[in-house]
Amino acid sequence: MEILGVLWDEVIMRPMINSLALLYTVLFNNFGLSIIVFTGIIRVALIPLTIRQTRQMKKMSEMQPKIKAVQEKYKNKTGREERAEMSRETMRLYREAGVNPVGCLGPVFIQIPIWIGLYRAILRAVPPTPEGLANLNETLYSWNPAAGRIPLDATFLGIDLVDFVQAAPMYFAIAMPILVGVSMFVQQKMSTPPSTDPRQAQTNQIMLWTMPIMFGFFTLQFPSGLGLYILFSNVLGIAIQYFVSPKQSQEALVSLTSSITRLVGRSRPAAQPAEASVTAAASAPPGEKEPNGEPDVHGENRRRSNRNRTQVSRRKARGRRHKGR
Amino acid sequence: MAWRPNVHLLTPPSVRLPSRRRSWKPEQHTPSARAQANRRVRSGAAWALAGALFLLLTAAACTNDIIPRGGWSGPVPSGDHFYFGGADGQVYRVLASTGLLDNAWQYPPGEKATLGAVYGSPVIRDGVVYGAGYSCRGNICNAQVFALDANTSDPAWSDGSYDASTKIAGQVALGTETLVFGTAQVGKDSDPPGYLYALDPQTDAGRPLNEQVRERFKWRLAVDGVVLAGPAVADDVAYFGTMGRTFYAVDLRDEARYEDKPEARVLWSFKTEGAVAGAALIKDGKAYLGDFQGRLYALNIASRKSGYSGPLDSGREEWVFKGSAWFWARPSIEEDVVYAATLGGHVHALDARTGLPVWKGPVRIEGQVVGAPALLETQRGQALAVPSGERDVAVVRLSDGLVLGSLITGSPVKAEPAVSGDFVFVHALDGRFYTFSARNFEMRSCIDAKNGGERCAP
Repeated sequence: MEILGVLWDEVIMRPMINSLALLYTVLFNNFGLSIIVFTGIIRVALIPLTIRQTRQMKKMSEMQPKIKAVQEKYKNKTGREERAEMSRETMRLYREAGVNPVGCLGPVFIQIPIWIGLYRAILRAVPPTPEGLANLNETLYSWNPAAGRIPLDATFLGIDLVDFVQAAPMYFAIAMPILVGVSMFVQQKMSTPPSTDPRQAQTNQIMLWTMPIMFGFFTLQFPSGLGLYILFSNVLGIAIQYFVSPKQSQEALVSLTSSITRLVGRSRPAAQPAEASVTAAASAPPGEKEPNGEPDVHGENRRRSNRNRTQVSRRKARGRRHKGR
Repeated sequence: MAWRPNVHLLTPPSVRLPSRRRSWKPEQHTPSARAQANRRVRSGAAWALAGALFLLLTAAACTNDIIPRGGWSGPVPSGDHFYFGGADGQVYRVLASTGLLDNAWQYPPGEKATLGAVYGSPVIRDGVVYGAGYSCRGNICNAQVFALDANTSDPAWSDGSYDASTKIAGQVALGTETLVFGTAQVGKDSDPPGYLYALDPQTDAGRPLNEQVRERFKWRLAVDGVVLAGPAVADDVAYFGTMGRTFYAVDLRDEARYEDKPEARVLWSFKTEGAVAGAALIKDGKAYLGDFQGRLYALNIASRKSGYSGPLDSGREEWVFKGSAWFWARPSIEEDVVYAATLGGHVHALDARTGLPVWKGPVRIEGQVVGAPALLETQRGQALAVPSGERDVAVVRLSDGLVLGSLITGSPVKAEPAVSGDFVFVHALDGRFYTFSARNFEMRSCIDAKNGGERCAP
């Protein structure tokens, strides 16, 4: 276990802390800028993985009909041998297509130790205890000019980046989790191709909503600096995804925009017929105006009443059928 | 319109049907398919929740860096006893002759009572033990300054302890009529980053009510950085450094001209290259202090007080020495030689007048040194007991820097050792209190202060 601790320290923690401290000296003694630039460096370094992930997911999406065909073939076969055979056929399909079923998780798994490491790096770079401060002497490399700048000033735009988000001023404590959640949602939406398999689509939908909500909530428990990293990482991820996969990204954004528009449209209260201006009008298609330039409220009302009439007649027909049982 | 079967008639009532708004295919809504879908929903959500919880727990589990632990308090002699603050937030008393804990003397009383993290060693005067500790919950910290009867451990102040919403990581210090200590930010103030506080140390024991101290707080001076170390007081002037790279000399006397103007008490200040975390040594009209740029300074305090504010002047026996690691421990001085140790484990011996090395090179011991070295007389000459933040206390001969041996504790020692007669008393970070022979470094006794003073298990 000790060797793991040493590896973690030498491979992850020390380089991270020294990078943050070095960027601090370069970027005008600004810890917030250091985190933002550090985020950029990490995201740029992960671009090859992101491209690979996008290609893998595209291929998986294209393979869905074949996978579905295999599943159909074994639909009614529940024996262990048959299920194993189905798995083998599925894996063969993946192999032939050059797809790794868990390859799309690569960037996610890479990010996890970065998040954990950055959480600790922020607390160790700006230690709140005498022990932490004394240990910084051993953590910083001898050549790092940041050793002369200790203690680092962790204030950025009036926020202490070492303090937890929930302890920050109210506006920040509310805005940061929301921004993290929304940016993560948009990024996931853009990077997940639509699936023809309804089961896969359902799973994707669950992940699409669950992770952003949870991360938004957990951001409250993180140092503000880590929240800043996650937010900018998501924003950069959105930009990178747009360049890597523009068509898919545009489709996702259009879908998102239309969903928001529909949501906003539904939340608007319906106009009351009594409030409409009373002018004679023929039943006009949606969007057409009356001859005097007023909106075709009557036309809309006429269509609405036609719809209501249809629903009533359907209910009556259902009632008759029930009676007939 | 083409006729479609009414699924509500065809499906058993026990099976829940989907909303009409979704596209409906019969094969999706058999009981087994629905069960599989539900399992997938639960599985996906469960994985997402598990992943996020794992991340949160792993990160949250690694919050040791933000909890102050203390244990840097060294034993201080008074009469037949030694007093020190334990890593468990208690103040203890040990009988010097036996090395055993006095279980009847403990503060705060009660099994679970604690002062939090106690970093500074106690200060004792006129039978009263003064000290401080602090604890934090998240980023909200509370400190207590206490005064105790050295015989009974009862609070010597009628108002109990003095509380402040800040961190006190250093030792308190006493002037003639003032008790001073340095702090970090107070409460949620964003400015200033540190203070020097002054309290009235007068005890209330045996005094009538109308003569007891009504207001313990006297004044506080805002400074440019966190004050981690305790001030050093000489002739009613407090000397201390800050993490803002400034060394201050502050007048502690109660004079009318200082009323409501604590900043007027600053007699002089000196800008250092690096942050100052450790306490200064004041001796023979000079101040010796180290900083985080690896520099050790010698300042002529008389000249500075007279008005000299220029750079270091060798004519006034002022100098700076560049070491190889950060200085934190307070230096020691013996026969015009200054001994200073770094966080890198280097021990330097420098001429007090010129700052030039006395030994051929620095002595290297294992671990960081935050406790001041103590002087002792060994069989092989005068030596320094240098506490190692890694383990043990190294014994280094003064004349040539030869490492004579170690006082074996087996655990890190961050507190300054105490020497009395032929014995060395060491408080280790694991809560054990050791008594060693200064002559041959053998351990005479070991007690576990956290376990009621029981003898240490081998």
